[in-house]
Amino acid sequence: MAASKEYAYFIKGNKLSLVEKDFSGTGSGLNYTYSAADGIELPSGGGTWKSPLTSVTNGIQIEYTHGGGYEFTYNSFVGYAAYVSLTDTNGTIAESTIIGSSTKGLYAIAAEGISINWGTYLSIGDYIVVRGDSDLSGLHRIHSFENYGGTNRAIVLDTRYPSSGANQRQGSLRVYYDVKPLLDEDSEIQIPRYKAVAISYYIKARLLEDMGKLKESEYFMAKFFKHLERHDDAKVWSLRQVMPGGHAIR
Amino acid sequence: MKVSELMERVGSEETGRVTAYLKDALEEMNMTSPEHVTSVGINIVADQRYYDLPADYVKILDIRIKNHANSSDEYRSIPRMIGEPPVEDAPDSHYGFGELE
Repeated sequence: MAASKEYAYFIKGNKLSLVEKDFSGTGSGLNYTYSAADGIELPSGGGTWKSPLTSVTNGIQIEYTHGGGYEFTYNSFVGYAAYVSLTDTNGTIAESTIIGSSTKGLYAIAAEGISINWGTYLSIGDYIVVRGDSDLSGLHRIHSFENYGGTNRAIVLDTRYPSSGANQRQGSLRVYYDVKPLLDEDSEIQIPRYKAVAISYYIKARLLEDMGKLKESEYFMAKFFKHLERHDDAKVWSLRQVMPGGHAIR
Repeated sequence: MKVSELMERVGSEETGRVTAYLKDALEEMNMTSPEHVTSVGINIVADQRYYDLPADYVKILDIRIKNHANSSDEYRSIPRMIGEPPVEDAPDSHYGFGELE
């Protein structure tokens, strides 16, 4: 059984900063131990906040909302336990495999341990949605396929990685195919119809703003938020009350 | 609803402009009224303090850590600190920023 720990976080720019309280030197996850002979023993770590003390696989779970500007189904996916690789200055995805010079600086995903021919599911120029990797979460376009321990076992994405230097990491990815981004008039907006109506108010507001009709724009923007509020309220069956605080002026 | 129907509702024939505003609207909507909710798992690395937030996030709803305040492998929400610890405790605790190393 794993020991109980104490974590906290803060946000710094586009990074999540994770710290853990160091209770080392004491037993049972307490911040002190007591014995009749020695009295109270304080932890050697001092109970201070430090960077995580131990590695934990899949230790962080971040729940978040994304823009959702694409159509895809959760049923169409491949790619468990894939390698995410950054194609470095030599264009390598792994020591034994060389990717063409045109793909330098792009992300690549290579299936590891499972036999996937990506060409079965995807074509060059297709869109995919990646889940399971923080850097790559979201929509990407296929740049090319590469051979990696088998034909078309690696895909190179049309996505540049921001930092310098080569890097490679292994993770449990899901690559969703059958993805259609919002590109043309035939695209379906994957939200409830009621919210789609709210979005029409938002777009009206922005178009009016472009024309300099600020008063009318404000009207439609207020309608947008009101519509969203009504949608959220409809999911709550009980009375919603906001109580004044203990120090409020009554 | 299709984009074409949306364009008729707003009285515009400019597909590119409406699509751009549509993407803005979806992000604004997900700020105030979460619709497209997902989660990602990240490995905790000893002595590494900074971790990438998901590339496509609009709003963070919750951050849960395995074994926080329990010893039965449960994921529990962790509190947000006010301020940050003044001490960078490990030489590579800035790993993840790259340019700060």
